[in-house]
Amino acid sequence: MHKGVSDIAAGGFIGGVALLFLPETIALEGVSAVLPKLLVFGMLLGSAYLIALGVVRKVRSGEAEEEGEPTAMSRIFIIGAGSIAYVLAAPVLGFYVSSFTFLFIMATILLKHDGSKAKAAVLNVIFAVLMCLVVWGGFDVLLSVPTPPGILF
Amino acid sequence: MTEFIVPALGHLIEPWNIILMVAGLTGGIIVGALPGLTATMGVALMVPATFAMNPTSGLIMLGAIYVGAIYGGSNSAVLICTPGTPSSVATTFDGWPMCKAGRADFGLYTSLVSSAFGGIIGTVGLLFLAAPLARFALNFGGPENFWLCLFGLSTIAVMSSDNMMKGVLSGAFGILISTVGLDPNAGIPRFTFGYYPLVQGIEVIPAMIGLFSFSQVLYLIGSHKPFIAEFTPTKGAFMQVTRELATKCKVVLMRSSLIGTLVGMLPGAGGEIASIIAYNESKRWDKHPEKYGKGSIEGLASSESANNAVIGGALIPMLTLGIPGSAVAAVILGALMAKGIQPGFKVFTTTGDLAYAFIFSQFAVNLLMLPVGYLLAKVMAKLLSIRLTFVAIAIVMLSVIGSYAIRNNMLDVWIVIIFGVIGYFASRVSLDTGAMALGIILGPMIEENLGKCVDISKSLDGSVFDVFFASNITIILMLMTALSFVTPLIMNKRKKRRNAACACGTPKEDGHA
Repeated sequence: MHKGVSDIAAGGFIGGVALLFLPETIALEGVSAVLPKLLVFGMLLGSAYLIALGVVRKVRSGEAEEEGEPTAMSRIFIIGAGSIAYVLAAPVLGFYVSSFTFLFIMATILLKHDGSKAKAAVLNVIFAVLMCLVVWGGFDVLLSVPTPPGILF
Repeated sequence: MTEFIVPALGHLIEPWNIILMVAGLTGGIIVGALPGLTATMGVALMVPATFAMNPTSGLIMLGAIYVGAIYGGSNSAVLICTPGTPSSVATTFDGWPMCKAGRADFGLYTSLVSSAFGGIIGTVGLLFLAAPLARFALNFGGPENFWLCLFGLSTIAVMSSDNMMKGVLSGAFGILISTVGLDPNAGIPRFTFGYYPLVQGIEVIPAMIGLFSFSQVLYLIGSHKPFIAEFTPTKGAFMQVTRELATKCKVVLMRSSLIGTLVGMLPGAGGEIASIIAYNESKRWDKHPEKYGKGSIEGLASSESANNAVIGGALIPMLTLGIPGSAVAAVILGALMAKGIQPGFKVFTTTGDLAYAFIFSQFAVNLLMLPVGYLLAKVMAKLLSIRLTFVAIAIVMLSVIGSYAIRNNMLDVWIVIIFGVIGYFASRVSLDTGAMALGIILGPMIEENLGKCVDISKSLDGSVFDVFFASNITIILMLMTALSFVTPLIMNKRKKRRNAACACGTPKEDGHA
């Protein structure tokens, strides 16, 4: 990413978070307000500085985008959306059913197997079942760690 | 003391106690390596099991779990960039780059040997310095703790010396996030945005899992690599690491272990703060600070030796004053009291054989950790031969259960997802996730102690600055903090001058820089 763009994005993010906290910070009183006020105003100033720095950098250097590692944004989007769906499904389907579904679907979509589709599906099922068993044995049975309960299972 | 040594050593060589030490270590390492399961959780889970044992055996086992869990956190920190325990946050800074460079075994062995070394130094501290140091730690009140935290936070300056503004803003973001929930001083709920569960605040561990683990899942899935890292085990890696640590890292190991022991004694300041301060100091004093964060053995050694040295330090005020130096020490204290043993001076007199058996068992556990940890490291390194996609998806599942386990609350699972996205975005725009983590960890302590300073100043009819300058310890900490922020700026300036001089071909200026 171009350094100027990176500065603008970072400044925008920090400024956005500070603005999100600003209304409640102003309403705070007494000792509860000391640290949040210092932080929010400091972050607003800092973000303005970063944005200005980024704009200056972008205008001054007409350099092209810096080459970084190639990123497959579609795969990131898939795992991100899949994880959100998984967390939404867990309280309904129960932890193990939703985990098995998540593991199997994600492995099917994201993993490129060399062999046939049937072989790949079997491998993905084995992976999903094995993971669920390991987590169940390790967390549930040995350590008695509670898992998210589901409405259906 | 001498009359207790022989009976204490006698307890130590009992086969049952040796089995308990090995079992405790193995369990602790596994618990520590699993993201979301903390040392506190591991020790607390085993407390009921120790009720069936005699006090000495129970205490030895709890101590072994504590040591194993703190070291175990480094395994996942090195292999999947996920700090297994909050103490291992700084381990990811150099452990993960080491793994990515195909040197995972070097990372694991460095953590192992450094942890054992730090643990032994911490235990030496526990054995010889318990009483005087515990008395010194009592001098730390609100102002001293406030400045200790700020000193810890000054690490940001060192961590992001190339872009200090982004580092400082990342740290401020972390502290601001830590203010969500009940105010530690007035008990007023803040920044809940109308969503009631946020009154409980943002839990540190899910935020860490998100920043370091889920963000890495996004990064790994987005990369086109088939495996996490290329890894070919190097023959004789363990001996090579040991030699390197013994020759190059003597000072780093000793300094970091002492920092760990000292920080461990302070109530509330645990391994996470010790390892970050130790990392900061190692980088600051190193002739080549630029190698830190890129797989430096010194960086990894400093973090790991410090967090294991904390154990001995944390046990000092627990045994001598009944004030636990860490959450795990508090659980062990509870187990001691459940057995009818009151901490304090009498622990070393009336139940001296128990106290010294426990202290000596800490030496033994740290030595036993070398073979046990070595075998487990070999097993864990196999993780790298599994396809990256499988590992990444499995990390999501472990992150979900790990974060849920902390408070049995789905909010923590959402925190993982949200902070994962923030962490990924932050790394794309060069914001510092390490500084964010540091802010989240230190935020509550900073605010609580700042509140104490404000209260003291009000009761004295003075300003907060009067409170700050009232103690010599505070003044020293203030100077150290200022130095910590200024040093990287001066170093950077010097470096730029030197580079400019080299580019111009005028080496004469170099000498003046």
